[in-house]
Amino acid sequence: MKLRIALLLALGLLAGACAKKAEPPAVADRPALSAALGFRCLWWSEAQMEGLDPNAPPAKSTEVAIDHWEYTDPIGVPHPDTVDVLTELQNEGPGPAGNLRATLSLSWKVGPLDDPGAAAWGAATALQSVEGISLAAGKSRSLRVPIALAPTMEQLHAESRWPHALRVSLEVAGPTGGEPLLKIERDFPIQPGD
Amino acid sequence: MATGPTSIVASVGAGGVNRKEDGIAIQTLLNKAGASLKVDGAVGAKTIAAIKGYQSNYLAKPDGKVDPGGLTLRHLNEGKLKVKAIAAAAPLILLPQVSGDGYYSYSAADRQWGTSACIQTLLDIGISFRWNLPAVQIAIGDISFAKGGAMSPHGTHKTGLHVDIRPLRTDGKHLPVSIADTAYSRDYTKLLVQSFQAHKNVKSILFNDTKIAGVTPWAGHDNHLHVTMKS
Repeated sequence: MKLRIALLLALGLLAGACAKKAEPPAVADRPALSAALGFRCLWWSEAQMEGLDPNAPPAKSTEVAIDHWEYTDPIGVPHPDTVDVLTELQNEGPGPAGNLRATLSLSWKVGPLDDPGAAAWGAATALQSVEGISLAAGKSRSLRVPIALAPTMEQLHAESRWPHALRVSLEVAGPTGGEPLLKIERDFPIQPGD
Repeated sequence: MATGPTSIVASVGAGGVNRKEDGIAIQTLLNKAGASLKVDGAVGAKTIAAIKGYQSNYLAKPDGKVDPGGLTLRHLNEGKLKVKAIAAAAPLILLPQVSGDGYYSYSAADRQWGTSACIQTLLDIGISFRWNLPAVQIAIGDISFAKGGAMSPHGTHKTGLHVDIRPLRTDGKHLPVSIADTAYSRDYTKLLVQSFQAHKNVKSILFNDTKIAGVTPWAGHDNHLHVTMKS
């Protein structure tokens, strides 16, 4: 008797399992994504800086994190011609997240050179867009995009104006479009010399 | 046939937009006021000098720029004033690119041109400082370009009168330092500030260590002194 009950239970479980497998796939939940956004540049290491000949400086070979651009000491404070935007998109959910589209956009806050308070944000322009991103559970994907600062600075400085900050936005959309799954932005102040 | 006043779309001159058509319009007006410019719309040093010469009739500090609807354009359209000759500024001289006379450079040579008085002031202070602190050298950064003018990314440093100087370190190393760093020496920097203050050609010092008497705090001045000379 006990054997028959056990057999029936086992058959029942097996049938249930098969039925579950046969169900159409459920509509995917909104993926649980997170993202980080920061800035990096190449600069001189302290060892390179000591006694550095400013007329024949060595190549900058040390990557440093940078949260603002500042010209108050031509060597000591990083103020690179190019800054890299580094973003990392992470799938925090238990399942995969597929066919994502990540779009980075850039805008400048421009105003008079000597009056940062009068600066205003310009329209955002696309920096980079990557489609078809798939992330397994717990996995991440990095995007790195350089932004040339020097040409904008030189052009505006010639007009006694200045890009007092830039703003990078990351927007991640799912395969069906609609509302973004995630959106973050980060400002990067740019301080000219006095 | 009478024509109306000249108008321009965008600014012309130093730091201006300098559209060719606007440049031609302003050069034409300046020539009527006594200048001898080639009317080609290319706004260079001669056109800017002529604008400044014209503005010197009514501005204490001519900026060399004509704005749409601005005062200079109104005067030019009235046609009553003449372009004045402006005395050329004295040429700038290069800070001697040596190390060991009480100072060292931390900026490239093309950015270390100053007025004769400015450079002499730096040399004076370097020599006197060497006597006070033989093991410590003054760090001299940006001054101006050889011909002056805008020095990106500065707002000033156009005339050879502004000098950036690093604060001093306890270890005397040729490295940058900020007032929050452990390597920052208030005692040495105080001596440095006093040396500048004692010189008759020093006008002002911007710096954020307010424990040192006589400096003016200013945003962005934790890691350098901005010294302005009188001449």
